[in-house]
Amino acid sequence: MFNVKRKSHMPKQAAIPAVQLKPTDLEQQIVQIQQYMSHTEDLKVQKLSLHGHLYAVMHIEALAMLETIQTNVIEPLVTANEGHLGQVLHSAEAKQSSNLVHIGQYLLDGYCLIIKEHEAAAMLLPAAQVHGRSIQEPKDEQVVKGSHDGFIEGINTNLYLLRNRLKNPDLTVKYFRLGSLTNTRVAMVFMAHIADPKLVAECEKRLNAIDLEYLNSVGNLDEMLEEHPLSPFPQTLKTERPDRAASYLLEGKIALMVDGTPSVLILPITFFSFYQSPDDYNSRWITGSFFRVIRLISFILAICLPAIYIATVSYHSEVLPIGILYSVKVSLTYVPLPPILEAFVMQTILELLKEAAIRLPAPIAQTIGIVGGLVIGTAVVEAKLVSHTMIVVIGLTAIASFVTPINEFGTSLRILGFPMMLAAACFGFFGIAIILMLIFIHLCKLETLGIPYFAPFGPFHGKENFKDVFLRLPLWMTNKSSQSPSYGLVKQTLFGRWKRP
Amino acid sequence: MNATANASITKTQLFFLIVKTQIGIGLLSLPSDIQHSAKGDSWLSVLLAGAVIQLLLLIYWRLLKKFQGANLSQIIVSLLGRYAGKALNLIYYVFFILIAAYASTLYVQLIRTWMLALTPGWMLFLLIIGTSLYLACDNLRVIARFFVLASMLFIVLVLISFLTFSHETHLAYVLPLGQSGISPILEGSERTFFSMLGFEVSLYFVAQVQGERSGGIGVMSLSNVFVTIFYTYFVFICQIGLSPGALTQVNEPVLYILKGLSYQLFDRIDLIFLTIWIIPMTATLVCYLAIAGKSLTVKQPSYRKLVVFSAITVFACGWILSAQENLDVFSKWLEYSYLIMIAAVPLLLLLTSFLVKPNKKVEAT
Repeated sequence: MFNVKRKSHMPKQAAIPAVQLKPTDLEQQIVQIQQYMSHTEDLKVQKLSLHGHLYAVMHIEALAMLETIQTNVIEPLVTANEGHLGQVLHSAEAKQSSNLVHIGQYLLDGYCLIIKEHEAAAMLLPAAQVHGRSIQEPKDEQVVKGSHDGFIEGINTNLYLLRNRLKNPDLTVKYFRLGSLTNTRVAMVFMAHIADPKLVAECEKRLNAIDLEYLNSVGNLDEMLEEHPLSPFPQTLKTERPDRAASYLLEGKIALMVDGTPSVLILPITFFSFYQSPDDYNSRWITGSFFRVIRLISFILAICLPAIYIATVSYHSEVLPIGILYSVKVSLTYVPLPPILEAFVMQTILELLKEAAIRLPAPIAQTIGIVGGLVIGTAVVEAKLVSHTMIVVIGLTAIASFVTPINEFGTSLRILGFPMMLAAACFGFFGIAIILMLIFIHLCKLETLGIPYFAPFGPFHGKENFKDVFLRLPLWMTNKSSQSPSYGLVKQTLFGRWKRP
Repeated sequence: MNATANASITKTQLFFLIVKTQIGIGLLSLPSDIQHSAKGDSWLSVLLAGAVIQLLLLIYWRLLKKFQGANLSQIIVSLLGRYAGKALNLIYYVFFILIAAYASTLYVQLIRTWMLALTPGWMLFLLIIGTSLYLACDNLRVIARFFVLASMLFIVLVLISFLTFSHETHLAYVLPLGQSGISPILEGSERTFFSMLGFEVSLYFVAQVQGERSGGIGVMSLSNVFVTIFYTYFVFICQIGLSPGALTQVNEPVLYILKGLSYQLFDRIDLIFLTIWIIPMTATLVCYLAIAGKSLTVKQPSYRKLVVFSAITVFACGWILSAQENLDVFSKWLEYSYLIMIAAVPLLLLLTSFLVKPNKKVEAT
């Protein structure tokens, strides 16, 4: 199922020989640590002489907060009477270690290190300074109604956001350190009694098997975890919304967080999850269902519309009645390109415009809008390079692909549009049917972590599971999710709601 | 994806597997085929054929019940022993391949007549068989998943067929009932029987249904009832929509009655209907490839290789067949010998099973 390079994986730390801090002269101890930290100059050392003993306080300037060191380390040391280091220095999360590797690790996490001469055990006190972005609404997942908070780059803040939503003892966090060079903190979050234990074990196994030098984002993690790298469909969902992540956790899914990335990776995910948005649940069910249906129509439009147009004008123009046929064909008369090229050109121009506008500052991006809208849109048609209908078709397709609540999925759809157009240009409707069939077969074949991608269509679970797929039926009609078969699905109706008169 | 060769399916999935295999290319030309013999009573012939199939399904069920959890190829091996059993399974394999090749030949001919007159045949073969192969080489559960999904299209097809009622319909064409007498009706149901082939997949698929086995016959009968009604309905609308004379003239009356419809937004409903019909037609091929694979092997890796090999064989056979001037002789021969394979042989096996104490250990070939 998943290519694991190393069959039995050892924890990364165990592979490195443990170097002990020698209980020698203070100077030598300092040199030993400096050597381990590659003589970096932002490793600050302060020597203290108290009660006839020599102490050294070390910290990395950029990571530690001076005030904390002053109040939590220097002052207790100076004011205290003679005693063991551990008795003098108190702090939550204080550590004691003589292992250089551990010491280095904690220094890099912003801890402050206190060593006493002729003692091997060094004290480590947390003094990290945190500079996080404030919690903002994510740019690419905005909602009309609902909460407007979003994950940020710090893993602790993100966990806070989740914990704050799910005040439940079942919420479990497991930490990993991935990336042999970056040592990035990764958190795996799941609900203990809701998530399938087999799923959690499998996910853990895969995480442990990852052998990467640097882990920059959840995107890297996604690539290392996914089962079907050749599939055009994303098999995990990346979200920056805590409400979204929390609701997936309640469905028994696993969330992976990477320190330094505001996105959270949700897996295993199903096809229909990409068409759900928090908005659906925050408005009334009729409105929610209406938008759900619109989005699913957009899926078909985004992959088929240009193909249907191409097939119609190049093979099956008899499908159109004479009135429509006339206006379509007239606009095609002076166009020198065949429909397939026309579509490819327009689709490429569209992608170019999108790529150009996406990273530009807003004032310049407006110019792109004018260039795109006026020059490309109007001038191209007036110059008889592309037909009117094609502009309409490509415009509709682009809009349909932007409808998906998760942007990444919309991009996959536009990519799928290209083989579709080619098939339509070669084999007309027959080609469209064949490619559509291939796409749906592929969707049926996909499985992530043993869960069919196209569930609930995959294994037909009865109509209960369809209450939140095409429509969003009222909450009191849907079921409480639970993965354990003995527990079954529990209906939320009757007692969860006041009784209708 | 290891050890999933015998991945179980649910009863609902079994239903759709059988239904999708049965409803395929045969239906499109069926009404005109029966018209030659049964005339106005064609739809009665369809019902009769459904009844005959039901009898066969009962035989199948007795056989499958006797050997719980085994499919036909395992039953054969345990009844006839290793070598004779394998030989018989090989014959089954050849027949499944031939039927698949024949179906794909008809399929390609249909596409070339109605949609793509100038596209070379091998190209169409390649697309059709390639698509089927992509699905067939996976385990049965995946196949079933796709079939259930694709079955939603039957709703669309039936909805489209309602449009034909906007034409002039003449109920008088089918009246009086029983006008053509018993023997033409029987002759007609023989034709129908051949276009309703596909129920024999239950011999291979029922073994993989999860849960208690008792409901198996219920699912098989239900799918038969569904298919019979579906066929009868389409034959019936063709009969009341087209005059008896016209019905004998056209090749694919089901498409032909849709052809005349015209609306403000689109014309030629038949093309849209045919585009959707491509999916059940391909599904039939997928099923035959799958049972061809299952008839010779049990393990998933060898099954996959065998299916790939079968697909190549079907491609070659289909190409050879499509080069023939006249397929009538071949199809007659194929149909009747296939009838022996799916009706007489299972019956004989059932009888043998009463006489022979079956070899308990079912050999995994």
